[in-house]
Amino acid sequence: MSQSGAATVADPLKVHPEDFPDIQGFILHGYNMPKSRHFVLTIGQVEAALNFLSELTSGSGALSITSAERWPRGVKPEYALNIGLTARGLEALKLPAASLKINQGNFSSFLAGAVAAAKTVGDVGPNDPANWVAKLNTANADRAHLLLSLYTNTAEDRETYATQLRAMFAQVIPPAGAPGSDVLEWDVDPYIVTDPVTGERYRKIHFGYTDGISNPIIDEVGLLPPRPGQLPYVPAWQFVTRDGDMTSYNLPEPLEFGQNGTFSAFRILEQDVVAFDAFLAADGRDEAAQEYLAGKLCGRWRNANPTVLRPDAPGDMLPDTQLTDFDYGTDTVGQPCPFSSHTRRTNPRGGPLVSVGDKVDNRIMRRADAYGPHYDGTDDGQPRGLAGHFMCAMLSNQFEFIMSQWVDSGTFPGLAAQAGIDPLLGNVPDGSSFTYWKSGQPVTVGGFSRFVTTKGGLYCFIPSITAIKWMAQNGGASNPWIVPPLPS
Amino acid sequence: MATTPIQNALTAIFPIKAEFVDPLRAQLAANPIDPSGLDTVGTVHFARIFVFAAGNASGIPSNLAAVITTYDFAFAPYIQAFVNQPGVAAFFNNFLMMVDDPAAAGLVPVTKNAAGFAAFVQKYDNTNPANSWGQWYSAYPGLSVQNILHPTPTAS
Repeated sequence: MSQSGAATVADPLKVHPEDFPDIQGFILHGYNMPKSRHFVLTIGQVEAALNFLSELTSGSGALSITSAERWPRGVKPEYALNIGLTARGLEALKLPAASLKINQGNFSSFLAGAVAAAKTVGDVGPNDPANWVAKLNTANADRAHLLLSLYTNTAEDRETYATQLRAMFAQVIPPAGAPGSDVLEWDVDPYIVTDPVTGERYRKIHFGYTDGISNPIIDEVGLLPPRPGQLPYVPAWQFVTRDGDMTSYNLPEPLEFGQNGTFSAFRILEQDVVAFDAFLAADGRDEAAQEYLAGKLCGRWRNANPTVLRPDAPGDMLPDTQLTDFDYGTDTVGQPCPFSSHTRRTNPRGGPLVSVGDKVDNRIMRRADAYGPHYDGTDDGQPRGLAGHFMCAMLSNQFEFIMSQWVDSGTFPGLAAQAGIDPLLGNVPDGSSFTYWKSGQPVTVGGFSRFVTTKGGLYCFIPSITAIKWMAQNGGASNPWIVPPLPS
Repeated sequence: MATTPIQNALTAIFPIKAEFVDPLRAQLAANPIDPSGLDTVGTVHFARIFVFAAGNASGIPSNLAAVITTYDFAFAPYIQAFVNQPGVAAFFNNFLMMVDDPAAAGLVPVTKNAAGFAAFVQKYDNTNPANSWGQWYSAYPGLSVQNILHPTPTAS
């Protein structure tokens, strides 16, 4: 991508260093900043919104969008900021219909929005969008236009930069009292523990599992060849929108708009930790038995060791490479790692029970962390869960495929007798059972339902820096693009 | 074994443009299906593709081509993996140009138009209640291709 603003076609297979300034930073790497806040707002005033986009990319505002340019070693900025727009948000900017083309077949999920995808991804029953937080729910989803994700190192910085950000978008949102004038602000505060021996810091989700272990690695110029046993690098076009014969989509047009972006399923997932702990402790299970069951439910022990490598007990935490470089190829029975386990459902890693292409074709990039207070075993009634971005170039083929065909499918390609739904993330029917192996025998535990309830969802386009500038310059058109009617 | 059926059937019958009927029939007769792409996808149990013979005893018009398969899981979500296989994509890119339907050419290349391709195939699927769905039997409806290729102690 040229820095002069004239777009050139980028390599669909690899990210190049010259691409970094044009790609929003969190697509390529996590910031590892422990405080974040997500803002969802409505565009009420087009000119103000276009000015806002301009300020975010010109350096003229208090805050700027954070690109993927590498930070100097050991230096981390006080904040990072990223932006996404829903299809209705693009519509609200009044972008020129003559220029903007978003292929309906490829991007129907984005165009229709997260509420429309509810049945596909298991957002039914208690997860139904009607029950989501007000800004995102069925009644208001069409007014959820713009998502800002602010990341900071400290809580104080979060307040400081949030205040500045609110001032920047104050004129963008509808006037007080008008529909859509409310702004959703959602704080994320991961629980971080420090290993007393190594000093390493790890994030934990409320269910007690070590988090942030494994994400796909996007192929990039300069990467060393994959290690033996390492999962293949994922071609850039699966996470950074690119044009090329091998891609599964037609790049949105114009090139300045479509290239170097991605799509995100932003999710707010409430976790019922009390029910989870009660389930583990049921049937008189002692602490060791509870940990055993917890490990099998996840496919990783709580210290992150994969059960396929440590079938019987967690053991000492394995080196980072072993935490990621494993496969289920030798586990055709589901004995060390049950077929229904969370990690196996969300990333089956190839092997004989799924098609080879699944190793790289249906991945998502997770930038989500825990929200709510740390759970200390006391039922305090406080909501807690996980919130953030699940990114990919094609929501239908990546995020929705994982949710519908793997997480929520009772016909996941494992053993028919041990079929089930991902017990940690799935929309688990009441009274479900889960089968794992212990001492060479299958053990089935029953009587549980969902531990996770969807409280919000938003499908966003995460545009490139060039695209944000293009929108700022071309919005407010007299013949604006509108979200096309989609088949019901 | 009481299970949710994993297998599904497809019986798609496509009209072929007159000038391509004989060449397509000859092409299909001469070239066996390349199994590599289907093996990689790993969800197709059986596949047959042919053009009905002229003067066949059933009286079926000879400008029709049939694609008949038994496959695992839902059709549309897995179609992208299917058309991502170069050999599969090449075949259907060529095939669609011969189908006598003005919408067919717009689906080429199928790799970039998987959702539209899926809908197009389902439109012509006679294992579809909207067309002529009847009944279907499998001796093992709960077993996937991968279950069968990799039998395990408790898979029955």
